[in-house]
Amino acid sequence: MWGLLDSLLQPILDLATQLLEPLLERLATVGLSEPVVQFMLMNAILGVSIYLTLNCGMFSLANAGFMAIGAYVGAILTTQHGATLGEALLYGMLVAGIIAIPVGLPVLRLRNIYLAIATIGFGEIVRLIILHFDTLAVEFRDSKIFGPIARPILKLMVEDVDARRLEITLGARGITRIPVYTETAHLVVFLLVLSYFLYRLHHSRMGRAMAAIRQDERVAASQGINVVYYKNVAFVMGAMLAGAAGVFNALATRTIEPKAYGFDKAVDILAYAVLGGLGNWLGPILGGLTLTAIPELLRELREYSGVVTGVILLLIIVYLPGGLTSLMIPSFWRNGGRYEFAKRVTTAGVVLVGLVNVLPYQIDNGRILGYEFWGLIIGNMVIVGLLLWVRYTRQRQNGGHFSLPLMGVGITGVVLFIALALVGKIDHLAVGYYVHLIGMALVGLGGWISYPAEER
Amino acid sequence: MEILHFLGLENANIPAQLMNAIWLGSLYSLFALGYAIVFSVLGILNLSHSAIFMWGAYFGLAASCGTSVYDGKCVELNHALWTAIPAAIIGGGILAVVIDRIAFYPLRKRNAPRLSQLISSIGVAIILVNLAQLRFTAERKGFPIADVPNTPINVPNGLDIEQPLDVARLALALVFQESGVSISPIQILVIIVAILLMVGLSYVVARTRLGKAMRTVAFNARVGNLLGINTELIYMIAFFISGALAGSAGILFALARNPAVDPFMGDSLALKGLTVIVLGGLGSIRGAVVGGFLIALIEVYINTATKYGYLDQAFVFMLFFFILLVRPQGILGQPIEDRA
Amino acid sequence: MLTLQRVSRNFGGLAALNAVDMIIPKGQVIGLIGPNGAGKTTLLNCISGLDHPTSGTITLNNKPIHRRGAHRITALGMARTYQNIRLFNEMTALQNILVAQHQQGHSTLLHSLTQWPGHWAEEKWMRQRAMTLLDQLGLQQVQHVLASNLSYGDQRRLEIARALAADPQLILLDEPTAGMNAIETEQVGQQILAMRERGITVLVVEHDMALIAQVCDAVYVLNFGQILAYGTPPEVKQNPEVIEAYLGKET
Repeated sequence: MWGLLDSLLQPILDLATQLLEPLLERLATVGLSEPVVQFMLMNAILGVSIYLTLNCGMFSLANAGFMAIGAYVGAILTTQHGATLGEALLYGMLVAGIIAIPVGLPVLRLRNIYLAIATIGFGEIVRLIILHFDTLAVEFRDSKIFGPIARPILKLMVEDVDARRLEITLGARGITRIPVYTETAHLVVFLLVLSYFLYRLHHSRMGRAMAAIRQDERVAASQGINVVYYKNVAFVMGAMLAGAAGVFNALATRTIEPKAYGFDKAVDILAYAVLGGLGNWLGPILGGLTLTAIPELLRELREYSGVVTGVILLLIIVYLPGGLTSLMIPSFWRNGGRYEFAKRVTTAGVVLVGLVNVLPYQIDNGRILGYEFWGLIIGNMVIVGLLLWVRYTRQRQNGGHFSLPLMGVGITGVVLFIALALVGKIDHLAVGYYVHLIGMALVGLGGWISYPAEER
Repeated sequence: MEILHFLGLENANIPAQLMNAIWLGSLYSLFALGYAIVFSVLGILNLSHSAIFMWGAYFGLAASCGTSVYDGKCVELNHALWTAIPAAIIGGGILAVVIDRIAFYPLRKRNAPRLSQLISSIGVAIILVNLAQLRFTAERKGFPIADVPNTPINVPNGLDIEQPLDVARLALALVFQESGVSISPIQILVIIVAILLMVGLSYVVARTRLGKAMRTVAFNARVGNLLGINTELIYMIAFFISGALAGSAGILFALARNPAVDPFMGDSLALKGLTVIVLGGLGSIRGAVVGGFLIALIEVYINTATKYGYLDQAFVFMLFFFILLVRPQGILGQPIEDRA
Repeated sequence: MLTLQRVSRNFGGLAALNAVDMIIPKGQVIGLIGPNGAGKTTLLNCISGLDHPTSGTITLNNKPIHRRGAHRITALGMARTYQNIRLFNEMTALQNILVAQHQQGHSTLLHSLTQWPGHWAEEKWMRQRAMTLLDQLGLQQVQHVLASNLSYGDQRRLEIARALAADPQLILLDEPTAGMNAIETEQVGQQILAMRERGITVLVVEHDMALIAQVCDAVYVLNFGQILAYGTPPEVKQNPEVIEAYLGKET
């Protein structure tokens, strides 16, 4: 059975590896080396794992915990039993899924904030248990009541159950020397299969039921949908996916430690899904890929990657609640209208210009964000003017009179900036300069979009 | 004595451990109160509360140490130590108001779901922690050891009766030395400030017009608006109070555990504060205080009476988990409404 | 068909329903009227499983249902609409109907993943059925419009269509004509009569007495959580207690 699956999959993986090779080379030139690409793909899987629960109306932050379970199962199986990637993946997903059932049954009765904090608690408990697992294992082994139950389980994890000290998860040090089995091709194929699964889910009876539960749980129940059942199914599916991501992660990094799967990771996973957008299954995949790539692409900004993550999360939730995918979906235009979209584009521009000007930090001797006096003056004037505009204009159906000034400001800014650079008043044509240009171009674009269509 | 044996406390110095639980509990309550106020008035869980706590400690540190904390350690005080406390309170309050304007106000205006507000508060927390790391580095900082009266009071030797602090110290030493309690002046300060702030707050909420307005808005913002209450102003005040409480907790923590100021000092308290308010009942102000002392008591108990001290956090979270499942409204909270 | 015996529902100390007895015979259209706050919606919630009575029994076709979850009651052949429209707003009209056919379908995720032939047949059948329903209620023009963007009248009609999609034997209508004009109300009356033609039992909560008189075989009057009167529409109209409940006591 296993051999058959292997012989079926191997050619596909080989093909994928061949096809990926040129792409990976290309990505490496812009700073996305193969390990980074692997992390992007893993995070995309994690984004989907939280999306599955969110899509069913459950705000669960338990995924980092399930990821930890998957990672440790994978690491123990490969280091202690010489398991292959496929076996590790299978058992990692199974264990995560099986643990999810008794957790989900009571917890999913909670809603909203209560569910969120209960799952945060779950994540912490998992992390602390893994951290102290070795000590706890000895306690349980030596206890009269639990000993007979604990022994056979421990036997699966360690050769010599009767040793004075057990070394299974190795506490804060973590498990080291895990074989590296994860290849980019594995992740790509897994993600493709996952995409097919999500696509089918959306067009199935189960997918519709889940969407209905998200929108109105009680009405869904009175349409004959078994809310408790579907919520648990979604929770278990999410846990299994997080477990799979954990296995891939453990078998890609050589070393795992409990610290990596704490509350911060749970928040990161949430950020992937929120950034990408929850209206569509493509969103979390896109979000996971983008949010992992951004700090790597802005290599000079790596020191700021935390701040960038936070700012992105904040901006998206405040100004683009539908996430990145909402930009691509026509209903966004229908619902929000052209004016709203224009306002967002302009705000994005203002924020870009603002980041360049307001952030006082100088990196690499001021070459990245810093530039000369003129840029600073123009930039700050643009910001003040536009903030006033955003503050004092109200929604109008058809663009209206501010379209032209806005386009004026944007175009003048761009022209002035290029002119100053040509004259040589701006010395350092660094990233900051281009960010500035893009920001002002976006401002102008916002004006153009908000210009009434019939006059365009 | 039977009971003590059963609880595993026969060897413990109970008054001393109780004192420990009291000062730790004061700190937890102070921190959790801020969480609870914002939750009760606005119905949102502000997960950036622990970041305000951490920044409060930095504000205090900067106020009494001057700008030297930016780059390195604080070697000597520029201003008196006490200036740190008002600086932390005011700084924390203002920071919380700014956070409200940036992260919550736009969402509130749009009538966004509560969960988006939770997410945006997480975003703010990430930004604040990372900014602190950039500004002050990840290194742990603190006040000069010699300047913080952190040594436990045992025997009143070398006391200077002219100093008011030493009079207090003498009195405390006479009271406590018999029972073997050792407590430092800073820990006493923590308890006093916490009690003052809690009493003051409950007075404001229960007796003043402002408190009445706050309770009205907490009950229903639209009703508040109809009664002519400026709800936005109430929100601003609620955030200020919450931030001030976080800031005060931050600086007191920094003083008591000196040196303890680093960008991650709020992390452990963030989840603990959450546990406290869940235990006491989300949004219940009295519940936050009770919950704070309860958690401190449990922690101290597990650490002194059992050999599972290393698992104290896990125990707290399991309790938290259990309470959520059995009684989601907490010990003192009102039942959750569930309308059709 | 549906029997309520001494059904009470307390909220805290407040009795929203107090020992309500009701019998709804098969194939009839029964009205439920009463002043605002009389407990009509609470009663509907208790029957449909969104709420549970504090005491008393409710049976549907002799099966007790007062402790069952809403989805299991739907499985027994009951569907309802809501007074304050509660459609799935992020779905189109057609998708709303498809969701409501949940109990009619049987294909699982596995069928969908493997593209099982039966799965396609079922999807096609569901779509056809949904289209027929939309057609009946005059919604075929707007099948691809998001529910939140539909006009008010269309939303009300879609609620009825969604309830019918579950293929119920008993349908509960909670103020189906609230906010509608006379012509639209007339159409809803026709719809209700058409339901009866097809053998569906109807319990309708309504304020419009003309509609009640037009469609109902009998009417229950609810006041302060208690049944005040029962009879044919003309009888009830003349009942002095009912007039008093609606207009207040004459001094």
